Amino acid sequence: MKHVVVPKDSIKDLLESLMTDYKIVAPVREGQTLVYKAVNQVDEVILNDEAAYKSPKEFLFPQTEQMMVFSKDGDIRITEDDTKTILFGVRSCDLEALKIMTAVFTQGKFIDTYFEKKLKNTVLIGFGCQSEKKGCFCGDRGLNKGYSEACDAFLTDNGDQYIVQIITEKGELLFGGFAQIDSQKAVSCESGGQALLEINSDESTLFNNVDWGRISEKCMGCGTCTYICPTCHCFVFKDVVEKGEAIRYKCWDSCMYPKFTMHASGHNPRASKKERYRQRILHKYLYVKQNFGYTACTGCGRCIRSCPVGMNIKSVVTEIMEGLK
Amino acid sequence: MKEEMMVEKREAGAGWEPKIVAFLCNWCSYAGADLAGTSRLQYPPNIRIVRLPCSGRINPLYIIKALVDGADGIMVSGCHPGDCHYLTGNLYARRRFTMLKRLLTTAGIEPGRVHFTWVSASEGNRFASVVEEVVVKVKALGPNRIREGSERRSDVHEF
Amino acid sequence: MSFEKQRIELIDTCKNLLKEGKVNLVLGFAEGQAEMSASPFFIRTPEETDEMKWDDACSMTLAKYLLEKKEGAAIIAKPCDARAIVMYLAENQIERDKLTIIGVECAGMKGKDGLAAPGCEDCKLRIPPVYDILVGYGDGLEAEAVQKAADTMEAELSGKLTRFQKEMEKCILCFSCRQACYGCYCESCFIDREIPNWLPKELDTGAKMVFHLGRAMHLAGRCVECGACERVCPSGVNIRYLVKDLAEFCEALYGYQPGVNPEEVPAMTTFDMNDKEVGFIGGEHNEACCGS
Repeated sequence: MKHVVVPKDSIKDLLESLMTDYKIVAPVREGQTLVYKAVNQVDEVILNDEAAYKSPKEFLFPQTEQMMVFSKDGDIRITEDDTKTILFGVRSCDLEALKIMTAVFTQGKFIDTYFEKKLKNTVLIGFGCQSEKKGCFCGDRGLNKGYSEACDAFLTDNGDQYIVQIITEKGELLFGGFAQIDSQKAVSCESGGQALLEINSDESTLFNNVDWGRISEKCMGCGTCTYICPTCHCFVFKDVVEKGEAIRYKCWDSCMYPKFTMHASGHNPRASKKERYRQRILHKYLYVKQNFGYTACTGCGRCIRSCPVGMNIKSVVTEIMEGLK
Repeated sequence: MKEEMMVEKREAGAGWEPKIVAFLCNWCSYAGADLAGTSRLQYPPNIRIVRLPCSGRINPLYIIKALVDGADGIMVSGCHPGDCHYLTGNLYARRRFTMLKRLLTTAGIEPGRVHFTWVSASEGNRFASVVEEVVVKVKALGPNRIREGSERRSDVHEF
Repeated sequence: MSFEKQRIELIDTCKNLLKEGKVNLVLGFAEGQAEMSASPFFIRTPEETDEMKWDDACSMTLAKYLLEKKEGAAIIAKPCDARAIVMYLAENQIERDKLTIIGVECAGMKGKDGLAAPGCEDCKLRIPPVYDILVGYGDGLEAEAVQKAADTMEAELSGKLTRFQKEMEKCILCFSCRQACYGCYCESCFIDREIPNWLPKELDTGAKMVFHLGRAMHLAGRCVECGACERVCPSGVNIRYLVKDLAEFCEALYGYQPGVNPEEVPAMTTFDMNDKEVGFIGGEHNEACCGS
């Protein structure tokens, strides 16, 4: 692996020079909060130790994505998007989350070509956290807050400069020109330890021996957690008919909504918040693990910070495992 | 090409004509409009009429949706209070419209874009004059600006 | 004299209610998670009551849980919770005799910034409009009056439309305001409908406007100004100013204040032959609508 040093003042010049070819998405201040947004001026970019309230997943998996336009005559126009994007300043929890998204959308029999294409056109630049924020538990999930390999290049704050680990060719293209340093001197780049927070049990035990009603009692089903979560990836197709044409959209769905998995017959297998909350926890900690080998929670702590009624996924999972012992 | 035409049409100035959606109740105002037509009364052709059973059936969402989707003006008309075919539909509607107009005004939609009135089946003349009044007011305000400066859907509804 | 004194009294009250078996559940507050300072607490045993929290951070509205816990529940009700309960009673959603209301004299809640929590800034109610048991605050209530946050939006922005558009841009259409709102309890919300399709799933400003204006309209004359919508919004959208204005307008016009008297018919479900036609063509008092 190659390490280079980028002085802090030249990072903005670098982004400025890339703006003609790429759409640059980086943390930007919006009111009180920090969000990932397409940047118009490099001065807007904020690289500090704060966490953005939403994950940047929407730039690979948009909240609503137009897929195609089709008409009665059988004419289908596939919507193409070739925008080259740089996702800048992504935390290691979000990068690990994208690994899970990539597995879900690009592995196996069915491939989401929209996601795949976006991923191909995106350069991921990671950025290390220095401190854990309130609610963060990436350590318990076996992540290193200061480093992740699931990107093209990773920045680490080092006083008046950034140390950049170049991981892929895409990263080399951006940072190749900077002064190389000895890898020995560079910051640690371990992948993190063992995950302590896991659910190790089978589905029927979890269904029958856990009091989901009590656990989900407080939840009011607002869905904020699923919208800001970096790994939540449930979606729904929606056709909007307009003037003889129809547009097909792929939109975020949320297991917290009453209409989630509602059948056309009117039957809903997840009729109450008890089943829906169970789905959320087990999807993260069991189903994705069964299918792809990852636990789909990276401990970013966003749902804990944003939950209006103080639901805490970490303590819920701990409680479940304690209860099953 | 399509895009350019659209922009052109939506610009104020010479040649711009407002598009006004009129929600009329079946029993009085629609019949009033009919009378205006059969009496060969002249009024501006800017309104597109939607006929409903009663002004009480007009969901405020119809009006909100029309405005958001680009209508330049809204006109709603029902039976005069006391004359409702269903006895009280327009009386409930009156409170609803009063609140709706206040809400839209607070949200920044000019009061001159949204008009409520009563026209009976025998008031063909009144219908023509009300439409005239509404069109003059909306024309003076120019095109609907509610979504100006914000991201727009690719397609704007044509009325 | 203080929140602490009130807390001790609340714990006593709840303990007795649970011990005597008069209620099987108390809806109260517990210490919050991460950045949230309080979270709802479902108390089922007398022992649990000791963990109860009561201070100026308990701004959450608990009334909505009553729709799920219809029998044998007691609720710790601030004036805004109690107003929501009154509305549920007026709209026939819950039954009064199956519910125990522990009213609390409220000194006003504070947000994270130490200023008045959303909904508390203009609230003058100190005593809940309905209660079975009242737990007072003691002396010095007035001195504790919360500081109101400055209305920065009005200062920064010129024009109502710009303000509205700015608020809409922030919205991510997650619908948490709907879920938190006491008044949004429709089984099938208009935005979930496919036919008619009020809200195409595109995430554009228009869709957000339809949602917020539609919701505001549904709350006309019903909003009890608890501030839940603003408090839960993850992206800090303030849409309450629309509904708040409607509430003032409704009170001035029809003399109806929601959540005060359960016997009174809500303003929008009734009419008067002589209602003023504000803002109508040829109507009276046009300036009242268009002037302000």
